[in-house]
Amino acid sequence: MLCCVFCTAFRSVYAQKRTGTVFRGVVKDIDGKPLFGVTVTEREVPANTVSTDINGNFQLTLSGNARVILISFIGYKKIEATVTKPSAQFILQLDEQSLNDVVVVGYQSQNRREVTAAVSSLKGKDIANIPEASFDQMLQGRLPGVSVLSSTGEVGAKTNIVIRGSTNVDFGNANGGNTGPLYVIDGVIFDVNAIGTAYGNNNPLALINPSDIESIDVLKDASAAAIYGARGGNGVIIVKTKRAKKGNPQVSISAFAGVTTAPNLIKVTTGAAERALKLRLLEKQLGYNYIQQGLIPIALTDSLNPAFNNDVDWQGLLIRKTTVVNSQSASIAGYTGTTSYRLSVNHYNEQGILNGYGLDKITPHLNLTIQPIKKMNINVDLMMSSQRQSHGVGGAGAYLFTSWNFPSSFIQLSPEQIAVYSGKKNYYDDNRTFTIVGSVNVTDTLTRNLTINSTYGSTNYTDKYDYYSPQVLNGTLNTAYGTISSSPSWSFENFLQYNKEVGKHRFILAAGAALYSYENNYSSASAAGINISGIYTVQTVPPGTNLNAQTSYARRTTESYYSRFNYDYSGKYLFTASIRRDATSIYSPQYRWATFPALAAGWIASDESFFAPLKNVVNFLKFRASYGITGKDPGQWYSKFQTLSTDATRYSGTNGTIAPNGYFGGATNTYNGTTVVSPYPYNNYYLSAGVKSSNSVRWEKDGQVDIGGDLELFDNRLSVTIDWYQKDAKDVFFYNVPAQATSGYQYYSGNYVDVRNQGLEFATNINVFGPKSAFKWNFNFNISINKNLVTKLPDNNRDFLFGDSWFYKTLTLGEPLFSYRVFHTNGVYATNAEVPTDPTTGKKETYYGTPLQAGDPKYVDVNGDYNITNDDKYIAGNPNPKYTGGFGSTFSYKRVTLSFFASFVAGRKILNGALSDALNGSRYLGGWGSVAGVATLANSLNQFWQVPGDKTTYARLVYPTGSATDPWNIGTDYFIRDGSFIKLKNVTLGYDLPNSWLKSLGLKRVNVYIMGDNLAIWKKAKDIADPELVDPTTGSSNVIYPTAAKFTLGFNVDL
Amino acid sequence: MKAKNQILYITTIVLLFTSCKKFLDQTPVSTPTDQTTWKTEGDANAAVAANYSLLRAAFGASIAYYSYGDLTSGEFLTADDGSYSNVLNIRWGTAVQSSSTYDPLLKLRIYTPFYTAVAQSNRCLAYITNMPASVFTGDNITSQTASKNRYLGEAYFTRAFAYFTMCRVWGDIPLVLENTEATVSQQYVRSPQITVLKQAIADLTKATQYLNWKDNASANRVVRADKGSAYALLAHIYAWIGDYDSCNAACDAVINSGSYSLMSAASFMDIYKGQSQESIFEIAQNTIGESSNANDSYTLAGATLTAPYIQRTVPAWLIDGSKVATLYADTNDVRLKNGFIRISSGTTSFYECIKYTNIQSVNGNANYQVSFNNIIIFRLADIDLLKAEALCAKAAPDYGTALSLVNKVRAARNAVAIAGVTGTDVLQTVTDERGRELFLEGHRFYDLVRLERINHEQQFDNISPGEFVAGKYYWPLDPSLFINNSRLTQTTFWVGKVMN
Repeated sequence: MLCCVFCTAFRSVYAQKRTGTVFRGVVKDIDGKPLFGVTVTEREVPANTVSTDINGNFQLTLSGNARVILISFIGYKKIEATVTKPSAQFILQLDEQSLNDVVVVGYQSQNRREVTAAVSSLKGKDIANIPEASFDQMLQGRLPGVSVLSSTGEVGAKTNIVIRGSTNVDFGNANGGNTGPLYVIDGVIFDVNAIGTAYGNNNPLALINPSDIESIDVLKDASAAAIYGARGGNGVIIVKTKRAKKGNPQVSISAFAGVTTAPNLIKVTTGAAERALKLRLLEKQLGYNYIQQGLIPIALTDSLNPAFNNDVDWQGLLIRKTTVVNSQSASIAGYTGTTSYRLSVNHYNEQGILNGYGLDKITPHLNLTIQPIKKMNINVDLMMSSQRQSHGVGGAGAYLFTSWNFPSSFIQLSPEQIAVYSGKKNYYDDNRTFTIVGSVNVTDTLTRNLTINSTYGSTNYTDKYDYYSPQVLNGTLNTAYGTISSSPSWSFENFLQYNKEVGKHRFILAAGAALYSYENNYSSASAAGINISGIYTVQTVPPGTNLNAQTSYARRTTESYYSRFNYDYSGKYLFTASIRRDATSIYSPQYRWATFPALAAGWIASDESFFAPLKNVVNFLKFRASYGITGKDPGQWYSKFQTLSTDATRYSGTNGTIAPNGYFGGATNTYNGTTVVSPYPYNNYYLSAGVKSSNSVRWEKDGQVDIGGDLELFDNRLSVTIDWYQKDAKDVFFYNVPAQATSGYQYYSGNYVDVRNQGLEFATNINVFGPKSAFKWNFNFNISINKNLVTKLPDNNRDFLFGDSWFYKTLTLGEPLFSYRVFHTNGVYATNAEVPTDPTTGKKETYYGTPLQAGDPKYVDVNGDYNITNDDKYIAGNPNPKYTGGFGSTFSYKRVTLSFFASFVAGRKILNGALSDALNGSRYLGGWGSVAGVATLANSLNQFWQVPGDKTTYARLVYPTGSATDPWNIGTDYFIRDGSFIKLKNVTLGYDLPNSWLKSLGLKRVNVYIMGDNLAIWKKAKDIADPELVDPTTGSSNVIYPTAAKFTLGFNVDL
Repeated sequence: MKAKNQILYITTIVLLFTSCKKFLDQTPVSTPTDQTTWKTEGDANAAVAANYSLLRAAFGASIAYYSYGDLTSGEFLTADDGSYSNVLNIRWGTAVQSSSTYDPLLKLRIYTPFYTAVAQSNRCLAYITNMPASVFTGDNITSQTASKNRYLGEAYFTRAFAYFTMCRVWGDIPLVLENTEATVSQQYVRSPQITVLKQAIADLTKATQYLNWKDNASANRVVRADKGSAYALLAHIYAWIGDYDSCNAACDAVINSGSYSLMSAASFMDIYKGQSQESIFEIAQNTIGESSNANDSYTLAGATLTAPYIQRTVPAWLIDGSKVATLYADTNDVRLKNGFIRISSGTTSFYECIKYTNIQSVNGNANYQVSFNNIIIFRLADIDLLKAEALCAKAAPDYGTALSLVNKVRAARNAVAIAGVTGTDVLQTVTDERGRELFLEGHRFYDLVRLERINHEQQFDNISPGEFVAGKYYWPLDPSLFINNSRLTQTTFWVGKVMN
C-alpha cells in the first residue's frame, strides 16, 4: 500500500526533458566493474544531473557551453572531465581515506563522511587469521561501546555482547532473555536471540567464516538502528562478506595450524600430604575427641585402607597434553560476462583443552550476481555451515572442575573411569549443527532514479545433540539423551528508493515493507537403563518413567513498514529522518503496533569557507546529533498468554527418574493419574514458581540521544571520534515483580521498568609517520565509559531483590542493574572478647540469633540491633563494566609487519565464587573426605582464622557439627573483587614473501605469519584465574571450563 | 514497459501483504494457556486435579501435615534436625538465617503454598462457571449441569479445606475469594478466623449439594472430594469453632451414609496404603509417578523410619516411648501390635510408627527408595470419635453414646472395651482414644487444643495455660511475608517474639 503512494507521488518528478548535446558515457571502477548510481553533473548547470544505470551507463544532455562534467560516487575520488567526443569511458579510483569507507546503515550504504549516525566499523582484515571459531569472539575491545565478554573457555561457546550498556532486567534470563544485538548478514536478519539450541552454549555465529568478512558495522545510536525498529533496541551488527572483483579470477588460499597451551592449574595438595593437612587443621580446631568419636570422615582417619590411599591427579587426567587448532580456507571469485561469483570454503578444527571437547566445522559460501536483463540485478547468496562438536559426555569432565565439588585425591577410580576421564575411552557424544543463511535479491531500475529492491531471505539453524552417559560416570544407569532443535526463519522485504539532486540539494527517499517469521522446533528424549551393548541412543528401554520424550513448537511473526529520507546540501549539511511501524505476534492486537521515529543531523564544519585557515591542520571536522526510538520485545514469544504448567511436583517428590547427577529427579505431572494443569509449577521446590502474565504486554522502547563528532588532523594522520549518548529504555518488560503471597503466584510480569545508560565513547587512530615513511606505525585506542542506572520500578520504586535469599542482587532506583546486596565485614574476630556486647541485654552480638564468637566475621551491624540479619546488608558494587575498550598497534617495515592488540575492562565488581564454593563444599566435616576443599587453598591457609588471637582476612575454616553461622556465604563482601583486567589478545608477526620469488611460482602474494592468541592478562584480582569469565547475571567467577593461550603458524596466498 | 513493470511489482507486493491477515495471530501449540484451554470437561478435570496436587505440594513442603499436627503434639520426644527441634519445642519464633532456604521452620511459617491451592480453586470456580454445561458429560442439560457442578463442588471443597488448614495453623488469615488480575498486587489484611471459617462452611454447603456420595467403582474414590469428604470437613470445622451440635449432625451425615465401614483388626494396616473402605478423604501419592524420596530426611519416611524400611539407623524424629506406653495400655490392640515396632540401636531402644512403610526400590536398586503412602486425612474412626467428642462437648451431653462410639472403634482394633468412665471424664477418654487411633495422622495437636479449650487443663509441655489463652498454639507468620505486604500483622501471641 505504502509503495503505491510513493510510486504515484514521484512519477511526475522525473518526467522532465531537456534539449541540447547528448553525451553518453560509462563509468567503471579500476577493476573494470560498472558502477551503478554514480552521480554525473554538468558543472555550470548543477540541476542537470543524472545517475548511472546498472551497467554504469549514463546519458546527459548538455545545455551549457563549458561542456565540463563532474562524476562523483561514494567511496571514490571525484573526476572532473571536459567533453570532447559524443561518448567516453571513465574509471573511478577508490578513495582510501577512512572517511570514504562505505558504511552499511540498514538497507543502504553511505560513505563515512556523510554518516550522521554513531556507527563503529571494523574491517575484516583486522581480525582475519585469529584462531577462534566465530567472529564475535574477536570483537572484544575493538569497537567503542561494544562490550564483548565470554563466560566460559569452551570451544565454540556463545559470547555475551552488550552495546552501550545493559537494559536487561530479566534475571538469569528466566524469560528467555533478550540482551544481544541484532545481526544482519549480507542483508538477511539472523536473529541469534530467537535461535534455540540443543546444547545451550552453542554459537550460531560460527556459521560465518571469519576470513570471508569484508566489514562489520555496528549501529549504536537510534537513528541508525531505528530502521531496524523491531529488535533494534540492543543495537545492530551488520556483517558484509567479500564480493568478486572484476578482472581475472581471484584465487586465495590460507591456512593456519597451532597448539593450545595448558591452562593455569589449581595448586592442590594431594595424597598423604592432603590427609596430613586436613587432619592437622581438624584436630587443631575441633580437638581430638572428634577423631575419637569417629566424626571425621573415614577417608582421612583410615590411612591404611587401600580404598582411601589414592593420589589422583584430577587435572592431569582431564586436561589434554597437546591440543591442536587448525584452519584451511580457499576462495575463488571473478566475473564471466555480467555474472560475478565468489565461492569460498573454510575448514576449522579445534580440540578442547579438556578431554572429550572439540569442534570441527566446514563452512562453504557461494555468492552469485547475475544480470539477466538490462537494469536488473539478481543476487543469490548461500552460506552454509556443518559443524560437529563434543562436550565431554554431557560435561561430566568439566563438571569436576566446579570448585564446590573438586574431588579429593583419595577417591578411588575404576579403570573405566580413568579411561573416560583421560580421553582413552570415548562414549557416543555427538553434537551436530547445520546452519544455512540464503537469500535471493532482485534490484531493478524502474525509471531513472527509482529502483526497487526485493529480498527473500531464509535461515535455519539445526542443532542435534546426542550423548550417552555411562553408568561408570553417572553412578546410576546407562542413559542416552537425544535432543534436536531447529530454528527456521524467513523474511521478505521490498523497498523502493528514489534519488534526486537539484542543484546542491540531494535527496534520497526510501520506503519499504517487510514480513518476518521465526520458528522454534525442539524435541528431546532420554532413556535410562540401557543394558544392551552397542546401543548408545534412545532405544531398547520399555515405556515407563525411564523413557522420556517431549516436543515443542513456537512461532513469532513480525510485519513492518518503514520509510527514510536523506537530505544534504552540498555534502555539508546532512539530515536523515526515518520512521518505522512494526507489529509482532507477541502482543494482543491493541498493543501490537508501535512507531519508531528517528532524526539525525550533521554538519561538516571543515567544509565551510570560514574554516579555510585551519584546513592545514584540521582537514575534517563533523558534528553529529541524533535522536530516535528503537524497540525490543520480551524473550518469551507468547507473553500475552497466561502460561499453564502440568507440573504436579512437590518438595522431595519424584516420578522415579534418576537424574544424571545420581539423585532422584523427574517431574510428577499427575494427581492420582490425572494430568494436572495450573499456572503454579513447584519444580520440586517448596514454593510455586508461577508467573502471572500481563494482559497489556507491549513493546519496550529505547529512546536515545547521541551527540558526536569526527575529527581528522594532519592530513588524516590522526583521527578522533567522540560520542556522548543517553539511552533511556522505557517500559522494559519485567518478568519478576514479586506477587502477593495470597495470589499463589511467585511473580507477575509487565512493562514496568525504565533503565538509563549514559556514556562517552572515544576512539582514535594515529599513523605516527607520514605516508612516505618506509617505517609505518599505526596506533589505535578506544575507550567507552558507561553509567547504568535504574530510573523506574513498579510498586512506588521499591527495591526488588533477586536470586536466592542468601545472595541478593537488587534492582534499586538510581543504582546499576543487579547490584550486589551483601554483608559488609571488617575482618574476623580474633578472640571472643572482641565480639561486641549489647549494652541493654548484656548478650553477645548474634548472627540470626546465634552468638558470634572468635573466628567469625566481624559483620557490620548497620541497624545497631546487635543481631546480624538481612537488614544489615547493603550494596557493594555490580557486575556491569564501567570502562571497556582496547588498544593496538601495527608496525611495518618493508615486508615485515608486527602487530598486537589488547583489550581492557575496568570498573566492574565480580565475586570470587570459586573460593566461596570451595569453602562451602568443605564446610561440613562430612565432605572433607570426598572433596579437595582446603587442599586447594594450601597457599593461603594463613589468611584463615585458626587459633584465638589470629588476625586474618577470612573466618575459620573448620566449623563444628551443627554450627549455625554461615561465614562462607557468597553474599559477604570479602568475596568481592575488582574485576578489572587488560588482556593481550593477540600478537602477530607477518612477512610478505619478495615478488621475485613469487613470479617464478606464478603467485600474486604470499604472506606468512606467526600469531599468539590470548597471551597474557594483567588483573586486579590476583586470586581469580580469568576475571573475564564471569556469569553475566550473578557476577560470580566460578570457571568450569578454563581458557588457554594459542600459538599458530599460518600463511595467506593469492594466486 | 515501465508502467507495466510497476503494475506487476505493486500487484505482487500488495497481494503478498494482504493475503495473510492472520499472519500476526500466533497461538501456542506446545504449552497450555488460559486462553487456549477451559474448553472441554478434560480441561476442567485437569484444573481441578491441580487443586489436590497443590494441597499435596503444600503438605509436602516440610512434612507440613505431620509437622503441624503431630511433631508439636507430644507424640515425639526429640528431632535431630535443629529446626525440627524448634518446631517440636514450640520455639516457632527462632531466627532463620537467610541462607537457609531449606529450613523447615521457615517453610512452616510461610502460608504461600496453601494460597496457591486457594488461588487454583478460585480459578476453577471462575472459569468452570463460565464454561457451557454442554461440554460436560450427560444426556441432557440437567445431567450436564450436574456433571459441571461436581467440578465446582470439588473446587469449593479444596478451597474450604485449604482455609480450614490455615485457620487451624495461623488463626486469622487473609480471605481471598476472587480470581482477578488485581490479586497479584493487592495487599490483604488478616480476616477474623470465624469469617474465614463461615465462608468455608458456606463453600462446603454448596459442595454437599453438588457432590455425590462415594462411588466405589471410581479410581478417584476418597482421593478427590465427594459428599462424604465435605461432611467430614464440615464436622471438623464445627468442632474447631466449638459448634458441637452442628458437628454432631455433620458426623451423622457421614456415619449414616453407609458409604464407609471400619476396617477389621486383621486389615487395619491396609488403611495406610490408601483408598480403604474406612477412608473418607486422602491426598494421593501412592504411585511411582507421584512418590517421594524415602531417604530424604524432609519426608515423613525419612523423618520417622529406619532400616529395614529405609537406610537410616536411628529415626530423625524420636517417638516418646512413655507416651506410647501410656496410650496403649492394652497390648492386644492392633494399633500398637501392628502400628509400631521396637528397634534397638546400641544401648537405646525406641518405638517406631510403621503405618507408612509402603516403600519400594526403583529399578531394584536399594540406593533409590520411594515411599507410596497416601496422606490419610479423614476416615470413619476419626468421624466416629469426633462425634463422640461432640456428644461430650455439646450443650446437652450424651456421655453414654459417646463411650459406646469409643468402644465401637476399640472393638474393631481388638482392644477391650472401656467401662466405668462417666460424666465429663468421657471427654478425656474420647481424646485419648483419638490419640491411639490417629497417632501420626495429623490430628493430635488440634485434638489437644480442643480439649484444653474445653477442660482448661494444660495439654502441652511447652504451652503454659496462660500462653494457651494468649494463643501460642497459632503459628507466627514468617518475617519474609511482611516484606511485600505492609498491611499484614503478626499473630497476636508472637508479636515481638519472632527474631529476624
